[in-house]
Amino acid sequence: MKCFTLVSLLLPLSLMALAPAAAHPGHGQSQVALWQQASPWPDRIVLNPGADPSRSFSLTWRTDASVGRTVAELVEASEDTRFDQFAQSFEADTQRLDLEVMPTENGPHEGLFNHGLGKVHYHSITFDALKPDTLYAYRVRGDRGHWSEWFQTRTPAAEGPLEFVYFGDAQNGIRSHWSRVIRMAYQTVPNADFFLHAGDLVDKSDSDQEWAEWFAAGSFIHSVIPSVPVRGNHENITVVSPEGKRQRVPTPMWRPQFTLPVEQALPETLHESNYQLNYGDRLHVFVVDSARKHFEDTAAWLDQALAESNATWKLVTMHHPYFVPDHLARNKTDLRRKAALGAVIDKHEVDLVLTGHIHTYLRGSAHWDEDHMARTLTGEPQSVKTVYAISAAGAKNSVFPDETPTVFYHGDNGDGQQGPRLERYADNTPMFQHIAIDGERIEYKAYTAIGTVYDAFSLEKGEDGRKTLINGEASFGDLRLFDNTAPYSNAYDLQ
Amino acid sequence: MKTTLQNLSKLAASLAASLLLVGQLAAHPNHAAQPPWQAPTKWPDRIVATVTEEPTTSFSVSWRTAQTVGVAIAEIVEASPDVRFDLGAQAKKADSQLLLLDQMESPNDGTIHFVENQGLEPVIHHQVTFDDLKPDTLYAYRVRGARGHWSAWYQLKTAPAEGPIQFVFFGDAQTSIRSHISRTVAAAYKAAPHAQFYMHGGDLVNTAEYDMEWAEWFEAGGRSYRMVPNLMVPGNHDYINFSSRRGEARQETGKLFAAEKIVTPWWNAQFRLPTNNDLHDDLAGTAYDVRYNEQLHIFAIDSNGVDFEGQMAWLDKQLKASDAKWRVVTMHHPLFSFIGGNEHWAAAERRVQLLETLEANDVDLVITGHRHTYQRARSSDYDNRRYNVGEDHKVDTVFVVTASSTKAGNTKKEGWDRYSDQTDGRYTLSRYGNQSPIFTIIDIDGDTMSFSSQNPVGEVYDSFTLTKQDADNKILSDGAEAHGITRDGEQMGPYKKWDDLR
Repeated sequence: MKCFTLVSLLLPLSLMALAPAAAHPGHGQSQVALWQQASPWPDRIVLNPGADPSRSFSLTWRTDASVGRTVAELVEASEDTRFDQFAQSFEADTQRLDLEVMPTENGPHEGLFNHGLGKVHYHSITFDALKPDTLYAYRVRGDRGHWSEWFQTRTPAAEGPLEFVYFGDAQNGIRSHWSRVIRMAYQTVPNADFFLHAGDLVDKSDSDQEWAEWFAAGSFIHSVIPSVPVRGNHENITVVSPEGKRQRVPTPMWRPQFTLPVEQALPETLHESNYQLNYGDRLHVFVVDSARKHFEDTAAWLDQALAESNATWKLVTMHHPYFVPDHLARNKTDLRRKAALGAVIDKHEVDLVLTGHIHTYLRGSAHWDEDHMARTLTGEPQSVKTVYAISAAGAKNSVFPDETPTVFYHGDNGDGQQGPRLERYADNTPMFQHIAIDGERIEYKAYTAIGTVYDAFSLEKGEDGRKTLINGEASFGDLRLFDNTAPYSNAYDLQ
Repeated sequence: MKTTLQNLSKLAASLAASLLLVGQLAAHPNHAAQPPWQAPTKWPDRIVATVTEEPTTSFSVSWRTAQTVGVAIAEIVEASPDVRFDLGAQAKKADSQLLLLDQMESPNDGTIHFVENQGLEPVIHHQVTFDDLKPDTLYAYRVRGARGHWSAWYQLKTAPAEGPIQFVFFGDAQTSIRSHISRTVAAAYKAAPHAQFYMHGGDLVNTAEYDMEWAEWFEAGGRSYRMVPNLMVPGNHDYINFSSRRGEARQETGKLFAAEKIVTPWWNAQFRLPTNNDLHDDLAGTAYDVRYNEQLHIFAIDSNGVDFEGQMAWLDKQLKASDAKWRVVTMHHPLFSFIGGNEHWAAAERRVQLLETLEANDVDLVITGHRHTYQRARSSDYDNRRYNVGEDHKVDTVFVVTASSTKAGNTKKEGWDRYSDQTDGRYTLSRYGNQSPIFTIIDIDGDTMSFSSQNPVGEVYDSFTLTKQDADNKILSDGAEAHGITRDGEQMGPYKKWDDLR
């Protein structure tokens, strides 16, 4: 048995070692697809919200290492043919990243997947003091004369309705399969104020090719709708320090590729992985990095930020569904995460907790009602503390051999804890969720990749701050299970 | 022995190095010259879906690769919510054709060279038609270049056999396509994310043989041209004019239409369009009709093409045979192309021919480009000048002209007024606007056809509805936006010519 384990461990490793060599003989770039290669032209253009997204956003883009200082241009969009004449030019910050030897918290990391790719430059810029609810046009430059097209993006209104899309893990079959999910999301919610990616955007986060896929899959969507990325466990890599110490550390490709709000209260190592977005007093989004070993700093920051938040709606997003029952914890980190972060979220009665990681769809709530199960079945309003969702958007789907994934919610599984109970789930179904906020009301809809609604509920906040959840019609539809859907193989054949 | 081994390994090393060099050269022959968004590779690019004669049960897809990819395939499957919706996909071999980029054979001048494309290797264009599909059904397809080099899966819905239809019309893209026209395409995709097809009224590019401009066209449309089938007619800028290449003056009598010209070889290589006319071979893929479904019939006329008279006779015949409730004619040149300007006598002659055909067959809409401005006019069999904007009244045909491009046309309103006088008010201009890109979203639902003409910031500039009360009564009702301020003179922001843009 031990022998078998060893072989199964070694085989993929040796294949991994071979693959880059075969793909790039002699470090040449001839086998690297043009959609991956850096050039003097700007690519991987991504828009991220600032801490006050109605008044600030950031842009990040990439070029090859020949492009030193460069610029972006911004102008308020008008219907005039030459709306661009009075655009203002802004100088970008430029950062070099050696894809073959990347700096990490645990020393230099040799990027095995990136042989022959050399150094690239990431450029970024943050625009502040923008007007809310205003359509801006921007373009970014690589080398002189090498401009992107003009992209238009609207800053969120300072008040009034807001809407966004939340995705679980993309991770596998990103360009091939996840692309249809993000495109359908854009077709369904083309005016979204942001797209939230709840971690595991890719599988091997030190592989430039996988990030190329993530950017190719989203293409222009990443450039026009602000992305709110969350770090998952796959945004960590294993690095052996010069002293021989093995450690899981954040991928050095994260911070160059995204420009996110920096929480000064946190240590530098947690910057741009824990951050807060304030959409006026309607919605505060707390992005939590659950892919660490220890959570004291994060929990302290989150506790204080939640305590200070006066928003009608408080949303926490993190990759790991920390709220699963203890008997499913795989290690001490899982238990520490739950103890540290779960306590804070419970304490502040956070309204929505959006997560990924499990590669399946599960949605439930922590209730005040004793008879919540009956109410779930009849569709009667329920008094809830927190709604918890787990979703997946990529081509990997968990198959649970002996047990349904429903055990991820506490339910009545006998561990004696008062946790969230499951209300809706699905196998074999990549999804995206549309969440619309209008005053005291939230409408939530989970869509399949062909644009049909699979799950829905509304959440309403009363004057006492208590929330009432009403399950929508779609949540009573037939369950999609492995038994009654098309065969699922795996995601290994996809590129 | 040792020496031999060393020599051998040296030889192997130099062999490997030279192979590597060759490999790199072959893969990117013009790597330095072409931007990554233009250069062909083993991967499929310039992927575009187009309409067929039977949009309820089929659609076509075209794509491009480097010339090393001789055989390409595509796959299709009905889209499902399943993670591995693709497992039962069916493969189809593409029809592939080589396209020379730097030269072509002309009818009378031998080989002509395209300096814009100097040094560009030939490419291969691949096309498939997926047929025997179900109406109103979402399909997923992907296309392949070299083995293992697949596109992403794209989802596209076939036309519904009945029920509402929505489509978008784009006028000339032509200039600053990647830089500026992209925002018009983006705005249209945002405003009508579920549009069932797009129509392009010609002048997709400025220089018909300039490969980089076609690369720009695909860059600008890359966001949606793969998910929404396209229907396009060529404009004068999509034609290669051998007469003018020889330096012959355009204004010579009759030269305007008698010039020796042919639609750019990029046209049929890049777009698989219907070839169902029984006219001259040169009109294959440029003049055709599409019976979209029960309700709608579209007639594409090649207003630059040969045999305009023949095209009109064909149009007349097709219109008479069509029992579709809504009949739309699209072509590049508007009816009143040069009103107020120096209209060529041949253009005026053409107008007479076209109007005869339209009026004999009660065409509902003629939608065109060419003027780089927005214009909406109507015809009726009485003096319609007595109706002000906002008053419902009976019409025969509505004429719409739009443009996306950065060229700035000006509507010659006085020319229109003169023409109205000449025709006793049977033809009048309803609404116009200058120096603002406009696309038009058209919704058909039973007896009504609704129009929403929008600019790239998402504002509606013009709106109106046609309602068929009965066979003889088609009522035009203006929407609120039809009363808005007219974009002309001081109502516009400053304009600047486009030639600083790439």
